[in-house]
Amino acid sequence: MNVNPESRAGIVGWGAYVPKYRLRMEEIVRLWGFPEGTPKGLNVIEKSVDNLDEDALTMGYEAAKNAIKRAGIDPKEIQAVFFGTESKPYAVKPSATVIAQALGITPDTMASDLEFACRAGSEGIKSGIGLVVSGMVNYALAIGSDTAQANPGDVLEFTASSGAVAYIIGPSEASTAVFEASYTYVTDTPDFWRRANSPYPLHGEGFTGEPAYFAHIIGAVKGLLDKTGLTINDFDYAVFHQPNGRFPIKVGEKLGFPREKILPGLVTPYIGNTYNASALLGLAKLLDTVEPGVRILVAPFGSGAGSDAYSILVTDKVEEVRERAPPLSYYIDNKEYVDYAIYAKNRRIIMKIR
Amino acid sequence: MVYIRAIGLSKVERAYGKGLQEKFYEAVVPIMETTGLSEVDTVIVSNSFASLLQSQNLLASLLVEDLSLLNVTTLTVENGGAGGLTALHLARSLIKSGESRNVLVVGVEKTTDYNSEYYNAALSQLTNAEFEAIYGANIISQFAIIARAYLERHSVSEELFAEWPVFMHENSLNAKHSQLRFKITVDKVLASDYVSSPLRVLHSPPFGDGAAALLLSGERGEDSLARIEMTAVLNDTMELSLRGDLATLPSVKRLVERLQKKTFPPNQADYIDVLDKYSIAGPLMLETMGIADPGRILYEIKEGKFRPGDKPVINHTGGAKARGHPVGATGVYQVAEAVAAMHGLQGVRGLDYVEKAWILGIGGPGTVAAGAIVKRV
Amino acid sequence: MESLSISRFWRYRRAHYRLTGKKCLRCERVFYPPKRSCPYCGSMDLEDYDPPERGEIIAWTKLYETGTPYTPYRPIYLALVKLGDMTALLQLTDVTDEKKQLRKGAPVELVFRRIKEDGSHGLIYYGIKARPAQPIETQE
Repeated sequence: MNVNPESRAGIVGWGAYVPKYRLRMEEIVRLWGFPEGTPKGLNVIEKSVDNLDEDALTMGYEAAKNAIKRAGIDPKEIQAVFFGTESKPYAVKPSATVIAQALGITPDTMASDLEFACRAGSEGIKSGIGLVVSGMVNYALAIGSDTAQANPGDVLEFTASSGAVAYIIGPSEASTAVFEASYTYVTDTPDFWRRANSPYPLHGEGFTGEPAYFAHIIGAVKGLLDKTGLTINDFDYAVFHQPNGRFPIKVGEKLGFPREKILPGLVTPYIGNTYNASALLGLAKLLDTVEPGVRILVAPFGSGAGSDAYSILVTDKVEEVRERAPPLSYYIDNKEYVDYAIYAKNRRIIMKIR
Repeated sequence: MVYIRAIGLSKVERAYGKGLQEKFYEAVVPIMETTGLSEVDTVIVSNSFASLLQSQNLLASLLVEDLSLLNVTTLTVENGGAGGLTALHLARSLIKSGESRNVLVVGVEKTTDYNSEYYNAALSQLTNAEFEAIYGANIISQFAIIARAYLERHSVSEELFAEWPVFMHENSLNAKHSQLRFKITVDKVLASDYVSSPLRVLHSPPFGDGAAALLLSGERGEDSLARIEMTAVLNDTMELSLRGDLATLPSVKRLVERLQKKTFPPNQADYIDVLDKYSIAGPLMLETMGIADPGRILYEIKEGKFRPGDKPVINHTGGAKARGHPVGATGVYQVAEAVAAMHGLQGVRGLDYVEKAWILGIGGPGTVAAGAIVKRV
Repeated sequence: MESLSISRFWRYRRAHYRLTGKKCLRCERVFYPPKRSCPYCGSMDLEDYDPPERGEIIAWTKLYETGTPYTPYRPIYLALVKLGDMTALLQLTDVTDEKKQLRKGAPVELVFRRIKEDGSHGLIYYGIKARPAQPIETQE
């Protein structure tokens, strides 16, 4: 089984961050004239909203700080920082360097921002695995963070939310969870995009489903199963990209996963789709709670389109480090509701001259 | 000895039609009309924000051009709200050393040339720019934090704290040049909005422009109005985070000790004027001077003490709150007003029993303290 | 864009990003912002001090009279915060319940936020703020 190079790397520490504010779906329904049942169809109750002084970078920092605490390592031992986002504060100027500097990782490190819609954070993990396994770095920090944009009034606005997650990738011996294997499936499928100077993305509605989300996740998962010889029954939990609360359950059903293996890692109904943090926050939620020894299937997805499927084995170490940082539930539970006006202000969609 | 030969007080106002030049000139006119300026060999101008708000440096040299003064030593002083008294301290030192004989000290400030947001940014320059102002702090927030510490320490209610601005507005009627010449009530103070809790609009000095002037001389003449017994300027930390006790002003404490060592204690003064920035600095400074026990001065003010006829009379012209606080000019106003009160000059209600005055100012949140002790001659 | 200075912020990024103060090796007191001599005993024998991530409020205010460029954030909360042996003036963020969260002794935790922006085209300055802390057991 341990023939895959990935198996020599694992998750040494994980960290989550979700901003404090929440917008109820009814606010969007009321403002933009949607049918009342729309949020229910998406299986989303409310979504997280960043404060005016937050962005993908600041949230990524918080998640990374928590991951480092769990890893219990000197930040200087991190030699690669990957920041996956599609809501960069700067179009040009890396966010990874700011985070690396603020966390005391600089200067002896790689650092870059990655973009692949919602999948860049996962690509960061996979790159980190490669660097660790090759021996080029001791530890790599992969962050997925977004203050997701949505055109006001677009159905996307129900789910586009804010949150961050971070993983310290290191040697499997020191890991709380080990990567058994991974499989990536990528094609040119234009289901969702944002042009260079456009403030909001556009998407293909139904086209984001079958040819994009479902085809790629299923492609990646099947590839992983073929490669490893594992079957659906070998996994205790499955976490898929969570653009809404419905798709992950549906893709699980298509693959043959019962709901009870998917629901424990589902976070979108409570905070919305945090894009690059989406599936990876689901994994963090599991690492916060599951028993050692369980096997987790994780499959993030990014539009454009691609998916990575990982088989992850949780080790005994998970319980040692869990308490070193706040769990995802701490951030999900400590919430304060805002109305659409505050949301609009915080999201900077009220036009001001400055 | 250093004597005050003449004074000039201009109206503290929103002088949209007047620039630094016009306000400066206005303050000097009464001096030109009495003693004249022919013997002036040194001009010191106190100003805080011209560099930012009027894009002007080298202020003293520029402004004396309106006075046809040539071949004089010109010097511009910036020491926040303590600038005026600092200018006086320098003038006295120059005269005592023999370097200068007749010094014209003018404080001038124009705060109304931009909108309030911009002026608030200017007020942030009285805090540490890199480590306090960067978080949005300004002089208002710093005094608000000090006020909260004082109110909590001494269990002073907001109602009692409102007695200070009420007292100041009552006093504003004693001087024609005061900016806000009307009475207010405790209820009105408490009904006003917070600017930075627990400070409200009616605890705050109004935005205003002003200029005041003093002519100092090393020799006593026929026209001498008062004698400067002592001046001093002392520092403290700028950052509140470096102070042990927020409910005190250590710079003022040390300044009072220094001043009284060479002269007389504050409780022997007939007249006291303190720079009551955001109201809270008034009680703090007076209690530091020993005029009342810590936490007690507002009770005494409420009881009706310190009014004309009392010794000491306090902030006779309305203080920063009601006379106004044109930052770099205020210290010069404070001294000129004390002299005006001694002699009943220039629209200030005369107090013929006033012989000895204590005048204290501060720059920033007590970052620097400056004081002068003036005796009538 | 106001063309705020780049270097003024950049040169102090250690302090802004990590709130690194100084500890006096003679009198052992800790202070912020960093200086080259101890404000308490005058010693110049100092070392860097990184404060803990949790602390408590000493005194606070809610400032409405903000200056440019803080007006979009109005009102802003400012507080003197005790962090271990160090005291710092910080902006408070994520305040949602003034009565409960803003009082002497109330717990706060440090967060990394935008502290200043140079319009919508200039630089974004990041740094440390404090926010009301939730009671949790998993703090280091």
